[in-house]
Amino acid sequence: MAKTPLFFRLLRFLARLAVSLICLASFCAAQNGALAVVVNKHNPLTQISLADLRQLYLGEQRFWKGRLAVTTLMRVPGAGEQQIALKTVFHMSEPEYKTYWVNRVFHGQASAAPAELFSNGSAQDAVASIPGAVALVPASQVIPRVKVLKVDGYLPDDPGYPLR
Amino acid sequence: MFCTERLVWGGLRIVSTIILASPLLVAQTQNPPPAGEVHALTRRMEALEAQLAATNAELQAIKAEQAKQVSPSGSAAVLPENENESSEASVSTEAAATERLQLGGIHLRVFGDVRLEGSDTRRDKTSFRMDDLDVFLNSRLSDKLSALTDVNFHFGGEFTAIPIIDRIRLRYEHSQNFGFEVGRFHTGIGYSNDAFHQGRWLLTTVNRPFFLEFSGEAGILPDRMTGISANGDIPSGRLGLKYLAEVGSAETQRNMFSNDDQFIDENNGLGINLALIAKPGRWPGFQAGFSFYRDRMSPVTSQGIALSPMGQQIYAAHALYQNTSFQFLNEVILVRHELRNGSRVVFDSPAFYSLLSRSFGAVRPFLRYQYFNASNNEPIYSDLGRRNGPSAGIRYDFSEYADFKAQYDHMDDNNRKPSNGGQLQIDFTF
Repeated sequence: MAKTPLFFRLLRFLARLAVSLICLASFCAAQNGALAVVVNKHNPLTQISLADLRQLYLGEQRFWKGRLAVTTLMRVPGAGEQQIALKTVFHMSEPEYKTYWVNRVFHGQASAAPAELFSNGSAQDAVASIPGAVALVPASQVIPRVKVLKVDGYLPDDPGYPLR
Repeated sequence: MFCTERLVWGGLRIVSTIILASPLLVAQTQNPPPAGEVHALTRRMEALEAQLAATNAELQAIKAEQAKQVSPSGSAAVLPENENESSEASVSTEAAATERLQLGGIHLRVFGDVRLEGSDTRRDKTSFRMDDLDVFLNSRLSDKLSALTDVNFHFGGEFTAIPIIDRIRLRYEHSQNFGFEVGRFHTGIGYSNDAFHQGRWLLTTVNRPFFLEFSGEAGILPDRMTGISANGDIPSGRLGLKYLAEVGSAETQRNMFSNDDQFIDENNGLGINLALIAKPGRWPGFQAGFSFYRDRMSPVTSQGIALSPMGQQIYAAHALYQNTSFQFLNEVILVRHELRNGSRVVFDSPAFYSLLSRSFGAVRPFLRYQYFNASNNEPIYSDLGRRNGPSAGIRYDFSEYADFKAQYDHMDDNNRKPSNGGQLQIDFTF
């Protein structure tokens, strides 16, 4: 049997390499740290502004429309999701965030800081179970039982999405 | 030629494998999980395994019990289908989620401080002081109902401590626009009285402005009230208007400045306080507000001397800007006492303070100016007269929940010689 010419063998190798690089790029894109804002499926909201998200998580807005109480959920201190939220939503360091909530609770303006959960799975379980809950989870790990909100009109996959 | 070709293809495969694998290898080293989170996850896993074992045991017991049930025909009983099974399951799931989020329970926090203070006033001796320990408890009873209490243990002589209920209240929040609370609370006169409570760790400075100290420390305001308070947002778009309406009895026993043994019991009537506050969304951190307080008093001195009944009106306005690194607070207060002995004599006592501070990492220098002016004939504040002066200092947060403060105070006083004083204080909370 005649051997395949070198040119075609090289071409075949480069095609396989290109496909592999495309797959790797997709994998990396999914791991770029985009946080999705997820709410309960019964929440009528479909989008939220970054300013309003900040109001929610700083306890200034305590009710959704319709008098449904807001329950904010956060990851435990040190988690990557919490670090992104501190940087992009609160513009605070972790000690400043803790001091803010100690002050707010002591003042009586809130009964507790946002609940801290150990995993994104448990956060989404809680969101799916509690009508007024909202959580920030990696976009690549969103489960079907929750709803993703647009932030400033962008979905997590959109180029201008602010929560990265 | 053939060997060369094999070497070339083999080298290309090795290089391409390295190129494809390197991002994964890098991703394995970036952002390793914190040690604390690993321990927390391990404990959580162990708790879940224990819970799963208990649930399995319970399930086995239920199955065994069901197997023992026998119908009249001799076959195993078939349990009737429950039409509400799915909603009960969702309620129990929500209850489990709620319990897991620890939405109930009592949360406890303690505030304390120790300071060394001294001044060039002849009577004052340089001394260490630990005035009080503040124990704060709160609980979220439901999505809309919460309770808190603030117990201040005031230290006396011989290592004794007197517990004082500084605040105790039950709050119901109906909506973003309306909530109310009943109990004992700090009156919302101005900004500082209800923003800064007993925990000095939350203050930038060592202490409150002298005229805004608690009434037991010669402050001028009816700082605490037992009654009912309503507050909420006013639909105003980006203006961010909020209202506050309080009615209750202010139990004010004001100690005399520099003489704790003497006091005036203001014998307050039913006081009303109304406030309007703006927090525009366009300028996060900015707040401005105005409040009006009205009350009637029948003051009696510590010697049992009854003073003229009087009406009390307190006007307060504030404008401030603060974020995590910068703070600029301004507050002005006017206290009006109108004698009701037929003379219609009116005493106006103005007061104001400004505080400027900025943080540089863990270090926050601050500068404050405070002013109060009461007539020497003013029946309630004659011990204060006119007092004004700057304070300057520095706050150093050496830990997340503890700080060190150094403060210098200069005070001009038309009834006393000017004084200079210094304070070193460590505040903490846990």
